[in-house]
Amino acid sequence: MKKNLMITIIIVLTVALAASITYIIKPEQDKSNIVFAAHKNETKSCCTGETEQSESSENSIYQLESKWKTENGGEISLSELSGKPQIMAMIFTSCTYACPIIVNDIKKIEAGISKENLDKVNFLLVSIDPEHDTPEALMQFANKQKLNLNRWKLLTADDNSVSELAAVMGFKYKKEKDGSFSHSNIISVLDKNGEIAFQHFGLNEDITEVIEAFNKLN
Amino acid sequence: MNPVIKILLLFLFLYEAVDVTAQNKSVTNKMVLVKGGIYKPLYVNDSSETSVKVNSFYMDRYAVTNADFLKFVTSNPKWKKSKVKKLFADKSYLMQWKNDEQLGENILPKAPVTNVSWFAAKEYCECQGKRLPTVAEWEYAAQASEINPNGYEDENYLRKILEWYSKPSADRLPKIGTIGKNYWGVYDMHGLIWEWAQDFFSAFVTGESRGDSGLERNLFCGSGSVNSSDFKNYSAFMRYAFRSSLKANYTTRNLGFRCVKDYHKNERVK
Repeated sequence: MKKNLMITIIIVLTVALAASITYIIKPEQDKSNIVFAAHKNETKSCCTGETEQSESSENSIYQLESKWKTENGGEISLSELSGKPQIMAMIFTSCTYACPIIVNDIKKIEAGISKENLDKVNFLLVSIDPEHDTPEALMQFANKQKLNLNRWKLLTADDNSVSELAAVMGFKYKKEKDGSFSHSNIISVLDKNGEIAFQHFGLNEDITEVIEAFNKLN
Repeated sequence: MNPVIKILLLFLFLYEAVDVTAQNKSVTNKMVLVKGGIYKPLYVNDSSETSVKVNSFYMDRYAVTNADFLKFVTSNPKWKKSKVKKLFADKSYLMQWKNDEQLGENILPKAPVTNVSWFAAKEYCECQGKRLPTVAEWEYAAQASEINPNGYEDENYLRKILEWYSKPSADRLPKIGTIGKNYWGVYDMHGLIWEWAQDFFSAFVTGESRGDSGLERNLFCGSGSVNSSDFKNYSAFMRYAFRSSLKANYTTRNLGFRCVKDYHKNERVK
């Protein structure tokens, strides 16, 4: 008898305990979800499962999935640039000092590439200033700089896409209070798969190495 | 078996379950509100701001742990150490883990995850509906001592921070929460690990045109600032130098992260 009573007491206690766990813990979880509930729709689609990546080369910057706008208003993914080597730089069009020099350096590279090889290369200017560099602004800049748009392409995207591209290019930049940017000056040569083949640092320096790096790709 | 013993065993089991749940609860990465204010960047030039307004934001109380990150890679296989692409994480990515699904015996699940790249950290946060903190946000939150939102006014606090910077990191990282919390309720901002910032690439060592800093990635030495007139900023200088030496796919054994989230006025938060 005594034993049975003890068992009953223990069962009751156990059930009570189990119930209280469920009760105590549940409201906590609910509360902690409040912050996130409002922003649930912001959560990236990546979180819903496996997104199978294309088997591109390990170091290709074309693995970035961002969408960009071109100077003529079209939309483009970086992977659409594959197939031809690219000679690229990151700039902002309202830049008064460094960027015109960089563009000029790339023009020198363009002039230094043999005629037959010119068909096998693209020149790419990527804006780091999403706020001001609309496709129209890019087009204006291209016209002002007299860029041959058969070979040159100018791109703009949102801050997040720019920061990801800057990150893979090892490009540093920081917005200053006057709206300009402090930034690295880099001219990069990408091979046809989007891997960085060569990087040239600085302004107004000898660009023959860039041309050689490009020629090696052909 | 005696039914009494059986039930006692069940009881014991349930008790353990409660205990585990309680432990998990205490390290759930809830966010706390960091009220906005003014942050003074370490380096300024003619065209940069001498003080930056930081808006209020929510910050993870703790750095993201091995256990948290393991859950993430399990549901996002492209971030498993055997699958990750070199562009997004170098070869030391998660190297302290035993394999894709196991941490291994020497790794505390509740220790901060390290050897993670900027891309991995960024995607982890985005998958939670959060993001990485900006340098300004991180530094602003980190300047709070236990009792003061700006602990940098307190020499004892600064000394404490410097003491950590002068110590080599432990062979095995301790659990999160062991260093202590600051004014905002954020734990371990100094003394546990280095942490990724969203705009780490905004740190230039020289501020001039060449992008490469020339600093070795594991060189945390801040010798350049020893003669600095503002000795108080010594630890901030080291973080700055460290950030400037990073690349987005770099991973090192004492670099981890935590996430933040924008604050919206009418939002309730626990």
